[in-house]
Amino acid sequence: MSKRKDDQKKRKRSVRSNEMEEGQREITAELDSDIFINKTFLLYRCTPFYKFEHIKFTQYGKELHNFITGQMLNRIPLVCDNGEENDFISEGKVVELFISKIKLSNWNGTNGMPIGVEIKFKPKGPAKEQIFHLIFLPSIVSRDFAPENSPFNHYPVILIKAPQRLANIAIEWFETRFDCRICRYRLESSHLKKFVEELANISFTCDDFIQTKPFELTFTIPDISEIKNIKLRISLVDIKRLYNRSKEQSDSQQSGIAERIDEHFFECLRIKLSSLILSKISNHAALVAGEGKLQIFAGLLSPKFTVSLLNQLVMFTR
Amino acid sequence: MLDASREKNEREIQIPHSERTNVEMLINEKIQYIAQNASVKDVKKNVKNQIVELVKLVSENGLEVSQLAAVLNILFVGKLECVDIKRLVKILLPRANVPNFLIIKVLSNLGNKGLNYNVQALLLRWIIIVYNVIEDHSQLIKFYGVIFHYMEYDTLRPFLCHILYLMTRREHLIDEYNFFNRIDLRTRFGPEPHLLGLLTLYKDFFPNLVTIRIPPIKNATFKCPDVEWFQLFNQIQRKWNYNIMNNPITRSSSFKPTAKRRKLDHVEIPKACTFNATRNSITLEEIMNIESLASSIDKIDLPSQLASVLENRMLQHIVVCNPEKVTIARISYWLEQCLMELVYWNDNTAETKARLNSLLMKLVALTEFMKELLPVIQEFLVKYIQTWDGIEHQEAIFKLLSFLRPEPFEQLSEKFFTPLQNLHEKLSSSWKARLIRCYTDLFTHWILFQENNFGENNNEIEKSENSFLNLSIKGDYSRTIQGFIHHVNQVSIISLESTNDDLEVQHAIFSAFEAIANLQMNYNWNRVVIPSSSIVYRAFFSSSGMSLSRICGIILQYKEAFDKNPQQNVSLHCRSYINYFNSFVMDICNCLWRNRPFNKTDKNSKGFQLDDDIIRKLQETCNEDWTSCYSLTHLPSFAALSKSCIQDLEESTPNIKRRLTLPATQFSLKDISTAGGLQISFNDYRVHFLNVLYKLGFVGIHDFLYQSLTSLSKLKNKP
Repeated sequence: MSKRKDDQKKRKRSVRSNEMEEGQREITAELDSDIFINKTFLLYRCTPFYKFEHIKFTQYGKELHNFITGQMLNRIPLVCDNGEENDFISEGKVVELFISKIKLSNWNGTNGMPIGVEIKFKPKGPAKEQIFHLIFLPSIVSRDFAPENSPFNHYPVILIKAPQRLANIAIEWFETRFDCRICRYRLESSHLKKFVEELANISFTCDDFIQTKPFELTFTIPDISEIKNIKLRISLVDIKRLYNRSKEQSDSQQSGIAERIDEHFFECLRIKLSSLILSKISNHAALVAGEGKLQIFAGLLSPKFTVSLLNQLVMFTR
Repeated sequence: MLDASREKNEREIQIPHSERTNVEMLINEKIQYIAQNASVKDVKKNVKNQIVELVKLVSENGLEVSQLAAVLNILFVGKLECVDIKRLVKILLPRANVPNFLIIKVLSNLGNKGLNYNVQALLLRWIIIVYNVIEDHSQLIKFYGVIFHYMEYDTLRPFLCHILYLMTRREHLIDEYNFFNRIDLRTRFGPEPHLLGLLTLYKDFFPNLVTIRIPPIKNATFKCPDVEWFQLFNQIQRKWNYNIMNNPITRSSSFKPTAKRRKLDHVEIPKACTFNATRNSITLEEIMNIESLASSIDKIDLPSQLASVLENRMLQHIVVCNPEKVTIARISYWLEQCLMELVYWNDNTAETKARLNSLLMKLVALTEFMKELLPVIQEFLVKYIQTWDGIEHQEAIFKLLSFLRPEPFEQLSEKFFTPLQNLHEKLSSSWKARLIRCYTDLFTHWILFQENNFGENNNEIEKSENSFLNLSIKGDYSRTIQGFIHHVNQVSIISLESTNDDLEVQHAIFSAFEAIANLQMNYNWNRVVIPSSSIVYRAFFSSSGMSLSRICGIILQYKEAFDKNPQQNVSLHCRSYINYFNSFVMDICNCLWRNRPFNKTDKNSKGFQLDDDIIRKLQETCNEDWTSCYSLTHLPSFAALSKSCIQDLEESTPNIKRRLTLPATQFSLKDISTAGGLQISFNDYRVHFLNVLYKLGFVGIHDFLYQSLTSLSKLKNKP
């Protein structure tokens, strides 16, 4: 924790020195990949940004700071502020706002690195300062325009960890500033099945996967009012066994783990899981919900897994 | 310019010169008396009387500039009672433009302790009233800061805000520091409506700088401060021929209240605001009318969110005039996501459906204005049509489909026509008619792509002007149209059969073929595609006169198209194709007029392609009526009208001894004539009947028979 505070201080210094030097220079400080860990993010889709320039992070940061302040405080902060502003606080106050690239090893940076917005926010009242994040994941492929000439930058997925009001203000600013449209990103059942695959495959590579938390798959039942959900909890060992047995039986069939689980349950219990909607999956590494939620847990697998999971999220928007 | 008009106006003034001189003298005398005696206690009553008389005189005649100055001087000396001063302010009614020095005089007396604040406020109201006739507004700008200085005064603030609202231009706000101070007004004085009105204007100029939320303001914040006074001022101006057109004293701009309440059944379309505008920017918000748009269309800074094009006609004009790739992409990205979200990424609730419908209707309006479908909408339609139930958002979808961009027919067929054909089989006759109407509209729009160019070996549209993304239409455009007409033909046949010749379907089909025939006649189209015999025959034997008459009209149009370029027809169409068309003309004439139904021996006649056995059986059924059974007077579509026509003739003929009870034939009319009934030959009757039909709107059959039968055209001239 103290290391994190030190990092933040360093970053702050770095940004300030850059501001003093020249507003047009790119900020060198970067957010760390640990901002993804142990947070429940809401997922959003975003259309390409128009005229978004990486060298203007400082300027954008100031503009966004002013915008949020204006929206939250009902006033424009004056250069000659004399400490009266507390009288005008209606919802809270942005203490610090910072935009930078996120250091994420293994990320295919053809279209740039993910970008993070860190907002240090002090809610009205006795509540303590909190840190919120907006993270923009770049596209894997560029569309319509040759990348070198394109006036567009595409960040198809946004992860937001912030109170809804703050998130909405930030979204509004991005939409008006870069002529984009941002909406909630809901994951389909088929997407979640791919995540099951992803999570399981990564977990199998881990030596101590036997001890990990079991897989929990939540299925939603459409059109039945009596039962809303069915939850299946399967240990990774069982999944591995199922996977291996199925592989032995039919080498030619290349069905995924999710399909094998479906088949097994149908054979044993006559429950046709494929007719249900897979709405949430979770294990020791992550929680992904169809309504558009993502949580990556701290653990040994995280750095490798994070990039892979985020890549999948971007891929599914195509 | 103004002086010239003033001279002219003075010449034209309606007040007689002598009377005018007299009035001027009186006004001057009274002003002078009041000025000299304002502070003299003994004549106070006289002064009051003089003021009353002056008010009466000026209310009818107004004041010259020198008189205005004199009255203002009296006010600023401040010797009169407050009530008298207010009376005098109210008679500051200029006959012509108000020179700047008078306004400056008023502004420089703001804060004058000798002048009651209510009087100062009244004088500010006067400035607002006469604002439109102030000689040089640009001079007033120098007082922007002075006006701001007095914003602290509660009594004056509403009127100062109004004056600032009228004065402010983008360049006045560019000094950020002062600007921010101005924005801070609200926090210092609270959310007063006039401050919010002024702030709204500032926010419209610099939305990126004014980030605070401004609550929506109902109606205009700045209304005329004194309607009665304004009307009196207008009356005076008009009397002296300075017609100021009753302008309301507010900003005539497109600025609107910013905040919109989110409606659940409507898609939220971004407002056309321009962020990061510079001092010299011309933004869309400042464009007030089509003239100002035209004069600066190439200089306008596009709004920050181009999806605002959906609700902004001015922006639609700009996009149509300059459809740059980047502009179209910005609109398309927004639309693509919005459509996908509403159709595929959300639950299909009633609210989502309402929102989708509202968006689709906006797209229809945009497309109808641009007369072209944005490629992104066409891509959406490709996907949407595959799962469309044919019912939801029917109106919007059909309208959008009617603007599909031409592509090779096979591609269009796979993407659109085949899925629509599948729906066609399942849905009602009304839906089938709607589909055919949609095809007719599509066909009409395609013709506009290539106006008149079909004859010039220019069958491929390389780069249509005004096309979004300069979308080129690969392949033979003529072949696409030809394939499409064949498709319409097929759909029409199936529709008639499956709906048992529903009248609405028939109407749609005839409209389609009328449009197709029009293409051939008027757009140099040389690949004539005639309607299928099934359509022609069904229409001929229909029980509706509309069907028979319209198919005759369509065949006549085709005949004219063939006749227009006989050489080309021979080269493009095989002989048998032309003969096949001729058989329609022959068969219809044989039945309707020549009383030789289903004749196959005449040149090109095919007897409606009926087997001889069937013809024989029909002959047996009809017996001696056989020859006239399918004639103009006997066909079910016109038999009743013919009977009514005979009755009308009998009614109008005096002394009729016997009336015709049988259908009109050569023999029945002859018999009735000898029996003392109607005296008219069969041929004359048919000519008369055709004229009656023409007057009733059955133009097709009338023109067809007259154009096809030489014998008939000889009989009578066209009415």
